[in-house]
Order: sequence, then C-alpha cells, then structure tokens
Amino acid sequence: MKLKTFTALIAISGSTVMGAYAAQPVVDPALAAVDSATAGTTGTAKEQIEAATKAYDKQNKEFMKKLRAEKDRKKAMEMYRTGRPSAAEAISLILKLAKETPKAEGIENGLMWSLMRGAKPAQRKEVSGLLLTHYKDSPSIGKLAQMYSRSRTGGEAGLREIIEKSGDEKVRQGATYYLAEKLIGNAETKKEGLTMMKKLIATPGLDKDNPKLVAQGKGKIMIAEKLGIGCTAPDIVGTDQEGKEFKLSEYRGQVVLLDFWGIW
Amino acid sequence: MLPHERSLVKKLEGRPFAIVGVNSDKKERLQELVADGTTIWRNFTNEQEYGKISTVWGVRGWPTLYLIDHNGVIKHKGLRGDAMEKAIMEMVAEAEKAK
Repeated sequence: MKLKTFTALIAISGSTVMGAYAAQPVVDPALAAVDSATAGTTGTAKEQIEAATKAYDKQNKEFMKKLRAEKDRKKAMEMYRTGRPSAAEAISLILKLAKETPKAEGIENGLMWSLMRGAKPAQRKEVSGLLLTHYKDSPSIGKLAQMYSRSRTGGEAGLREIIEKSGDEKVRQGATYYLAEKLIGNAETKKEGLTMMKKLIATPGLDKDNPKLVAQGKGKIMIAEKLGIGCTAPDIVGTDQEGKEFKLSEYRGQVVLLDFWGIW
Repeated sequence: MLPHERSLVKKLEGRPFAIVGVNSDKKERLQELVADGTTIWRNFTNEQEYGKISTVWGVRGWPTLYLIDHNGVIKHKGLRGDAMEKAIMEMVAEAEKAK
C-alpha cells in the first residue's frame, strides 16, 4: 500500500504541472515509514489526535503540579509566563488532519479540544471556520458560541455567523442571547440588542423549553431599560423571613442601600 | 462588607437612611442571621412565590448594590467601601435638605 502511494507520487512529480514535487529529495519508502512512526503521525485521524492531545494534557498536568509546588509567588508567575506548555503543536496537527479529512472520526472532538485549550487567534479562526463549515448542525457549536460571547473583540461576527448557519435551534437561540447581550452592552447598539432580546424571549414555547434563558433575557432587558442611573427604581413587593409582606416603596423619603446579599 | 454595612446603620441612626436587603439564603438561615445580629436591617427573602427577586433584577454577581435616593431614583450602582460611604453621606444630606 505504502509503496503504491510512493510510486504514484514519483509518477506525479515527473509531470510538469506538479513540478515543485520534483525538487524534493526522494526518500526511501521504508525509512519514511519509520520517520512518521516516531513522529507519532501514523494511525487514523482519531488515533493521531488522541495521542497528541493526551501528550499535551499530560505535559500540562505535570507542569501545573510543578507550578503548585513552587511557593515563591514571583517565581511561580515567571514559571507560568515562560514555561507553560503550548498546545499550538497539537492544534496544528488537528488543523492539518481536519483540512485533509474533515469528516473523519475524531476530527470534531479535536477541533473542540483546540477551542477549549485556548488556540491562538489565527488558529482559533481556522478552527471555528472548520467547525462551522463541516459541523454547523452539531450541538457543540453551542460551545463555540459561548466562547465568542466571552471574547472581547470580534465575537459579534462569529455569533452572527452561527445564528445564520447553525441547523440546531437551541444553538441558534443561545447564540442570539449572547449576541443580544453583547449589543445591549454597547451604547451604540443597545437598541438593536434590546429588540433582538425581546424577539427571542417571545419565541413561542421558549418559556417552557428554556425558562432559564427567558428569565435571564428578561433580567437583561430590565437592567437596560429600568435599572439605569436616573431611573426610578421598580418597586419590590415581597416577604421577610417571618413571611410578612413589605415593599421597597415604603422607604420613599429615605436614602436606600439596596443590597442583594447572602452568606450561603 | 457586612461589618461596614452594620456600622453605617448605626452611624446614620435617626437620619433618612435604610439598608434594604434581598437575601439569598434559605428562610431558616436568614432567621438565624437576624437572631445573631449579622443583619440589622430588613430583608426580603429572595425566594418569592412568583420567582426570585434577583432574577427579575438581572443580578448575576453577589453582592450587588444599588443606591436609591429619597425620591426613589437610582443614583449609583456597584459602589463599595469608602466611595459608597461618601455617596451615601451626600445623598443623606440631600434628603435632609429636601424635608
């Protein structure tokens, strides 16, 4: 099998179209096989990804153990800054495999792993691009949306892309929530965000399917519209620890420190 | 937080100032906290029949603090420590002037 491929390559390299290949040294096929085995690049995509991610996770675990053992705070910080294992190599491998065989078993998990291990911006863009191209209907896109929601820059475009492309309704709703939340937080886009959030929470049946999302959406709208500096505080009618009812508005005429607190 | 708040209540006794709590502990726990003097102000229990007050108010972090003036208008959010005390003193003076 290996020999066949190799022969084919030689044949191609002889053609003028693939002329660039001819410049590469011709390697003994037996030696090439040994080389790639030692580099851990044999086996299925799934096996290769598992080997690379496990190796990184092990390295990272050992590093964290050493870091925790370092009592000197300054030294520990320096150690973290300079000696932290990088996942970049493993992510590069995952990206390479994902481009070659995007639908192979293990690719989706590998791409998700790359996101969780803090891929660098350029790599992250590639990872999310591949996920959205080949796995747009997967629930794991929800994690991608969550990541975009935390990103300080550029998250909006990513969320819009997910809303447009995802075939999973729950994922789309989650991404819409995150996007609306982001837009509400910016004075220039606040109005658009509020309209989006109101439309989302009015989705028929959503209050039953995802009551938490609806409640949080209502809270965001409340903060944006009724709880700003200069707004009259909405009244609270509730009960104390003895079950006696009282109202926030009973304190009119006094300065009130309204304190949401707990000991747990 | 709590010791500072208790000292504020004592410091401003007889003046137009009140702390109103929305407490997230279980009702029984809050009863203990009232009994042992941890809280010396009135509290809503957060668990209400119609849902949590904190959810309606969109509270995501604890504690969350709002300063509301004598007209019921929200003047500050999230102030802590000295900055909070300074703002309260100014607002109380305003409230007294308005009487």
